[in-house]
Amino acid sequence: MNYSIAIYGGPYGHQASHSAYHFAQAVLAKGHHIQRVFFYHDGVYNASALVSPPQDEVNLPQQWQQLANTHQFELTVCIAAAVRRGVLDANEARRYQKPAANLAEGYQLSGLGQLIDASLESDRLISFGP
Amino acid sequence: MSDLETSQQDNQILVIFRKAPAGSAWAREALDLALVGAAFGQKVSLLFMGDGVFQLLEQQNPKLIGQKGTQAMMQALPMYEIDNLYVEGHSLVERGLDLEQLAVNCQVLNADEMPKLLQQHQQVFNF
Amino acid sequence: MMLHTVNKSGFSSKLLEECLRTVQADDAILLIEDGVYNALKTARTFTDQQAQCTWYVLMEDAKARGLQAEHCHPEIQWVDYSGFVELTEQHASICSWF
Repeated sequence: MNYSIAIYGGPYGHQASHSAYHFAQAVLAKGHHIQRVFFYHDGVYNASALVSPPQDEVNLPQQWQQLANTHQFELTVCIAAAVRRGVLDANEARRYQKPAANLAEGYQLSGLGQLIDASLESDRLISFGP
Repeated sequence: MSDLETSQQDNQILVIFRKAPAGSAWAREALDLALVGAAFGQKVSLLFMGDGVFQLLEQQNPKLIGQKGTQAMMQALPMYEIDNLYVEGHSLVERGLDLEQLAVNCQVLNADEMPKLLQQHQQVFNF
Repeated sequence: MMLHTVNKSGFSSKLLEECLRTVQADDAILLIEDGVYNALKTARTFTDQQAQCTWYVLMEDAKARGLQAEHCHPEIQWVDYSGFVELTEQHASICSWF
């Protein structure tokens, strides 16, 4: 089956992204395919390249990158929610004349339509909230 | 509720609003998703329950606390052809609200109708 | 047939009550994260519930919080993440309560 996952909670303050990550691993272990992980609401903080936990704690933004890279699925971040919360790619940083961009590698900013698209194109869409 | 009975599986997306309006961005971001769904040509229905019913109250003045609120977006719903708006009767009663206090026309759902509404939508976004 | 996930404790939140007002007989309810506390025998919401749903609790979340099966309702089945995925295979529609 083809899965998509929506994440609405940040990487450290809530369990949502952790739960989603464990779920994603279990989905892949069962031979299913993941189409897209979509980050919305405070979930967009998962896409910050500046997340810097101590070495003995999980770095979720990085773990998502690695899992997505290995299994070739999209990490899509709602652009409107991200820009409001200070998660910007190079284009947005230029547009808003900000001194730096901080969207982590492997993530892409896109419209909320990608979440609707995931709900239509995937066999299953599951959400994890804070 | 005639249109609940007749429209089995026709409806694609249900967005549930359960959070109070001003304390968080949920109301606004859930409504954004509903509008985008409609812009994508999907049939979108809205259900207000729990503290989400407070989003419907008239005479809100979010400007007082530096917020835009969702009132303008709510008024724009017909332009997006979002006209199935539901509110859970239980949540209204629990909060001592009646329909006259709501800024938007909603269909009130009783206990039997709530599960039916969820079952007849292919996708439920629950905020 | 719908799968509902619930992630808050009924001791401090009305989330599960709200969820229960929308479920029907053949739905499944999976308790995850802080929702696992609803599996305790002392949790009121479970005994009161009208709907004849099938109840599950996510083992990893329950064990992480020190919950033991003997303190939980025996009707609630324990599943691990692999079982969680199986539940999503069996239910075409998933409604997440958080």
